[in-house]
Amino acid sequence: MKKAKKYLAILLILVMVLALAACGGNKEQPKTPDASNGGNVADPSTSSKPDTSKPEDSGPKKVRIAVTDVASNVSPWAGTATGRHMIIYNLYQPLLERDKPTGEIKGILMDKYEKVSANTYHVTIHDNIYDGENNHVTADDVIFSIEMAIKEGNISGLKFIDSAKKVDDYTVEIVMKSEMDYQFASSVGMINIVTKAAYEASPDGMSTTPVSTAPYELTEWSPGTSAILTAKKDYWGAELADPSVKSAWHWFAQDIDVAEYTKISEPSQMSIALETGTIDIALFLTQNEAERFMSNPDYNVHEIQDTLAYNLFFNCGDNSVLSDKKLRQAICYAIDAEAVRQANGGYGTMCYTFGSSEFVDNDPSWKNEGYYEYDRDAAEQLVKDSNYNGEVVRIMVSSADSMRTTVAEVVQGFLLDVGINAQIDPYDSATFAANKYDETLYDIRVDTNSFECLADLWNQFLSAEGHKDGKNYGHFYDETLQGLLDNLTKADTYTPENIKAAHEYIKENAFAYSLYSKVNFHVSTKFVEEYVGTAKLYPNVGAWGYNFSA
Amino acid sequence: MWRYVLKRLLWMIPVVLGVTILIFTILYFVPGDPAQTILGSDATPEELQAKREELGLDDPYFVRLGRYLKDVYINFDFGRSYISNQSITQELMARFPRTLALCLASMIVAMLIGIPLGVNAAVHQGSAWDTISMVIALLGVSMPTFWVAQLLVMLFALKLGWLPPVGYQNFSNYVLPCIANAFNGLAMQARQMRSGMLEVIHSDYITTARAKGLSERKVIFRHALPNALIPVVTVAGTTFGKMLGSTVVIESVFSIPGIGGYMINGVNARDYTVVQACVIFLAIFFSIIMLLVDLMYSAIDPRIKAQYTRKRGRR
Repeated sequence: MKKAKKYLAILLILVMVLALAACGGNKEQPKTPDASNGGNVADPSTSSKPDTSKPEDSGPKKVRIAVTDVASNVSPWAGTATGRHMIIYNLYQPLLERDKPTGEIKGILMDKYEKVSANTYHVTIHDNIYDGENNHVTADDVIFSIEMAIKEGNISGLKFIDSAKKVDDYTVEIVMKSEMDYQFASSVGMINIVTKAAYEASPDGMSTTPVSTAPYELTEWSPGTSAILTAKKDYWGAELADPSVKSAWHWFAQDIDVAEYTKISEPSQMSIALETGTIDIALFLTQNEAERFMSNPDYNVHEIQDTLAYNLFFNCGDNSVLSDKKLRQAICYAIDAEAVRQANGGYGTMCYTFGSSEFVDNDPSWKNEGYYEYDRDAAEQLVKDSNYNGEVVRIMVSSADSMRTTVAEVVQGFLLDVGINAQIDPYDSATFAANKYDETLYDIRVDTNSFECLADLWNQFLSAEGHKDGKNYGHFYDETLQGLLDNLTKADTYTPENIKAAHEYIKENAFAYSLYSKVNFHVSTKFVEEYVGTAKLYPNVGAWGYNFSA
Repeated sequence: MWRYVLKRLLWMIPVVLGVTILIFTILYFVPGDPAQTILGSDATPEELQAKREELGLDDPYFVRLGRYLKDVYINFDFGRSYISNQSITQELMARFPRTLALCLASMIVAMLIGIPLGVNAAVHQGSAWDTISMVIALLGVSMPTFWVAQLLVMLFALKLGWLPPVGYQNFSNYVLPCIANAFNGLAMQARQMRSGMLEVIHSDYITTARAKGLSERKVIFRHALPNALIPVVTVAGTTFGKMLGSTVVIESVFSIPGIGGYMINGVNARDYTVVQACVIFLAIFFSIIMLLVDLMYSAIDPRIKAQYTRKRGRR
């Protein structure tokens, strides 16, 4: 019996030691990409000690990036997905991009453009563009890409493009269905350009084998899990990667040789990977996790102001209790937007209209006019004056985003405080996306949305144009509002005066209410000194500021 | 014996078909729109409708079900992902080895620790060994896998720096996921082993063995353990199934690109074809595992083997 006890004890100890200790302490340094290794995946976890400095002096300069998702599809015109945004802007280039804060249209493959009529643009590309297979990019390829993107139908927003035809070898005429420059820029800016020759040579429509004009190429990839991007040699656009040469210089930068992306979906795991030196930067880290690094001198916390605002979309339809204007106004007065912002850490900029203050067509003077400043007494009075009789006000929110649920909870608290019986209805992200416009499911929807400017946002949500039932996404039709919004869809009436008129009408009627614009957090070691993103703030890894001696 | 194997294999057909129809039906009625996921929240109703038509999502239920059954069981094709447009069969084949390695390693850890723990507890019933073993088993059964995983990462990766917190390419990457995944199974094995051993230890033939003067080691390992292992093997099969299910959590926490992670990505993206394929694939795999478990009975217990032989002889 004693012997058995001894054997068992020894066996247990051996197993535990083997399992826990013998395999640990791997001091191997991260491998550089090696196409000959037969694998197609990155190895994100090769150092066990915190290594907040950087890579090896010799060999390729490498940055290891943790993202919440990695692209599952790298074809040029696939649908929107978070994972694609993380890498796609280093793999493909569009003709142009529109800078949201300034509204400036910046050429990428486009050398210049000319607006030849209200809705027609002549876009001229550089004459020295080559893709990764050394195919020369011409106007024919631009037209091919535009037509293919429309044909595949995966990108929402291309509806504004009417046609594209060749003017000369490097100039394309693009006819829009809209007169607005921002719609031209946002639509055309979403189309990645590839050569027809490379696309047709690809066995799978470039779903796994992208060939493009961008400064990086995909050298290893495990769909949805990891990816390695390597800087192209003899890149055609290298000389444009200079801020003094081109406004969109960052689209051409190759300041790092290799970028390794690893999906880490859990924010806490992302933080631990950063602390253990497994990664160099964690992108789009949650605020709670980012705050852990703010007072730590070994890390850089990159706070990037976004144009996404936390909005309360009111269901103004006849079947909702919020069809009552006074009740909507009461809700706006009842909410202390600053308190909501503080509840989420106090980051971001306050809104003074329906939409972000960061948009180019926002008027800074609206801040001084006041935007439903918190007034509990006024809210209570408006509730009394309204037809509200204690009905449940349903707040629809996506449970996938803790910031949004916090917004919903604080808003609920304020509404209960003035006697409005608010109830939170959380939905998982996919169900939320599928049901967000179902007027039977909500009275208030907490949401964030990406748009080019206020006019774009207002028209998307409050215009009934193009809706079969004649009602907008607020589930109502208002003739005055429609007239004001129509003004913002034509070049000659898209004026500050008309924008202001629309702002005042929307504000007065409280069709929707914006709280504050969010901030994105990227946390890095000292190796990454500066985060540079596209106009939509997605990572452009070649343009980041690196400290190779850190 | 072979007739039994054949019979079990034939039984797998209705089981797998049933799983296929069930999962297809559940996903058919689940709210969420793949077209919306692909096009984003700003897509117009017209764009959404066009995409639904392209994907065949607007066809009636029976048309879609029939098409799916034909693709899977006649063409042996799980189709393509709505999101990535890649062959799901290829993806499953690429990911399966990682999931299998994780589950097998977890199973080995669970058995190597759980069985000795259970034997030891039973042999020393009522002692401190017994109490400690059962406390460990209780913790294992009670603590959720994702929490165990987080604790292990905090201790071994963050505090001690012994092991990497995420990844999958090196052996060391699998240590923490295996322990986390094994912990619950280990506890179940230990509890089952203890219970089985206690039953056997008090049997007459064990008393006889002791009376004949055999050493305690021989009594336990040669006479008691083989008979007590039969229910443990049964539990091992279901434990393996649980471990397969737990890979959804483990692979997400440790960023391992296996089938569990693939499935959870599919769920989040409403990529129905991926979810269906993963569930069917795991169902087939689990059925095979349970068949192997049944066959193992005969290897462990000659009486069961004799049963098969007798049945054949009667015929």
